[in-house]
Amino acid sequence: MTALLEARGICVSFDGVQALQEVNITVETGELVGLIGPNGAGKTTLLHVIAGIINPQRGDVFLDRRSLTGLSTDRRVLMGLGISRQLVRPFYSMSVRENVELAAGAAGMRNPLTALVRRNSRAERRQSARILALVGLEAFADKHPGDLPLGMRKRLEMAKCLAHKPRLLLLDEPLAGLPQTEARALADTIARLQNERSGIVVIEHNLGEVLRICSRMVVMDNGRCIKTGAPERVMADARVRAAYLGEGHAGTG
Amino acid sequence: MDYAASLLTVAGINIILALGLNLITGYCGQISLGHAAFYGMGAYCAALMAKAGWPFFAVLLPAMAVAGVLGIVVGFAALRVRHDFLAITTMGVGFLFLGIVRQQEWLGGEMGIYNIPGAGLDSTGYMLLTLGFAALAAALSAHIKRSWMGRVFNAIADDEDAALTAGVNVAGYKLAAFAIGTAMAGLAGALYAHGIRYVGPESFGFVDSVAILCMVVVGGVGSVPGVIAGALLLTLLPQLLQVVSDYRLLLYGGLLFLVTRFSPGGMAGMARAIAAAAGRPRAS
Repeated sequence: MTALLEARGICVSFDGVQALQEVNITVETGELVGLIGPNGAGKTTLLHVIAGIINPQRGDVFLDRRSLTGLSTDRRVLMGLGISRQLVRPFYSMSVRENVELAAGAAGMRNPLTALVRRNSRAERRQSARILALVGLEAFADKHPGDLPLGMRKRLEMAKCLAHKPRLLLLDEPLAGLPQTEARALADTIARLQNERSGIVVIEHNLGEVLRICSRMVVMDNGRCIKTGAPERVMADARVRAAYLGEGHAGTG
Repeated sequence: MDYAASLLTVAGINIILALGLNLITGYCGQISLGHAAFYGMGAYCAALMAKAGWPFFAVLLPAMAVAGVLGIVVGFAALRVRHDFLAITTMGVGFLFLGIVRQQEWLGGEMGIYNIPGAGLDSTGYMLLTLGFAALAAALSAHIKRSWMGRVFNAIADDEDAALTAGVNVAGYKLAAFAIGTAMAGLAGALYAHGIRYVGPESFGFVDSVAILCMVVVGGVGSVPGVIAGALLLTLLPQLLQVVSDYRLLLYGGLLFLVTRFSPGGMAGMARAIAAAAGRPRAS
């Protein structure tokens, strides 16, 4: 296995409050990594640093050994990052199919002049049909995102990410707000997306599902990575239990 | 006939201006309160070149290029600021333009530039030419709306951050919107300079920027037929009714208030609602 993502010495502070302190994280190809920790631990901040939404005060991010430092979010996406943010934000003025088509065509349409003379979207349409089937949205292709329930909109977010054939998928709380049956079905879909050529990082509070699908866990607390390893070993760690469940649980179970 | 021709010439110029702003604000969602500055840049560029002996048709492209390049410069501001901050920045550009023009002798200062050579056409011919350019501007706008560029503009107007995470070159498309929209304003300026044969700072002020925005909002943000109707209405109404002309600012303010309160889709939105109520679905 080779390191797909490497973030080294990431430091971020907001108005003097240290949100990330010397955070290092590595994701290998073929891994499905669960990034967990209590609220305020810095998980989303770390994901935003990797995605280029927040610029760190210190530290570097590498994808496939290529530095992402200083690159805009859209460039990082084209280099192989797929980013699904905590709040679902589809383009509400377009249909589900058009949402995915737009993402699928973004790489070929970097130059606005190309886009000015382009009207048909046959290649993007094929690509979007394939991805919508992959995430179980093919029956909703012509619907508008506003007409879909939250679970379907979460799948749409994932479909938009997959349109770029990302090497690394970053998912921020994909299961949040979903009833357990839907959460389980979406977790199964995420697990199916994992393959030997790419990696997935998922931030999630639904521990049961994370433990079920992830091959490795990274635990954060107070802006630091406190533990990494196989799910069962990580959850048996006293520091993790203390951080996640409170000091009283540290020694139990 | 001369009066009607000059009135329709002004209407054609306003249609080009409003369609240009519609591209920036309506399609791409970037608010601009300084569109009259680019109109003025095109007009002054055309006036100076015409006075230097350049023929009419040779002046149009440089006027568009000057306004378009400065539009790109202002577009860079749109990469740094959004929404109300962008509105204030573009308003500042408008004031900056007027401040510079008023102080420069070579631009005629407060007096403006007089005796600009005409285009060599009679008033009817010039009206037809202007309306022809307005039709081209409308055709370009309609084409952009149907092209991939229109789809990307839509996404940026919808949610800029989501467009970035979808891998869209948001910066490039925003600059393209500013370049095309302001180049159209430059063309309108060149047509104005040769039509009126005088340019002065009073024609390109903040009120004029608001008037253009009013045409877009009243007509229907993003709708080509709506914006054309809005430009025609707000050009012809003050000319045909003296009382409206006297209270022009009141009319703009009142219309902006009424439209945003009761029909955010403007005249185009109203037409769609009426068509839907009558049971005849109509494409936007």
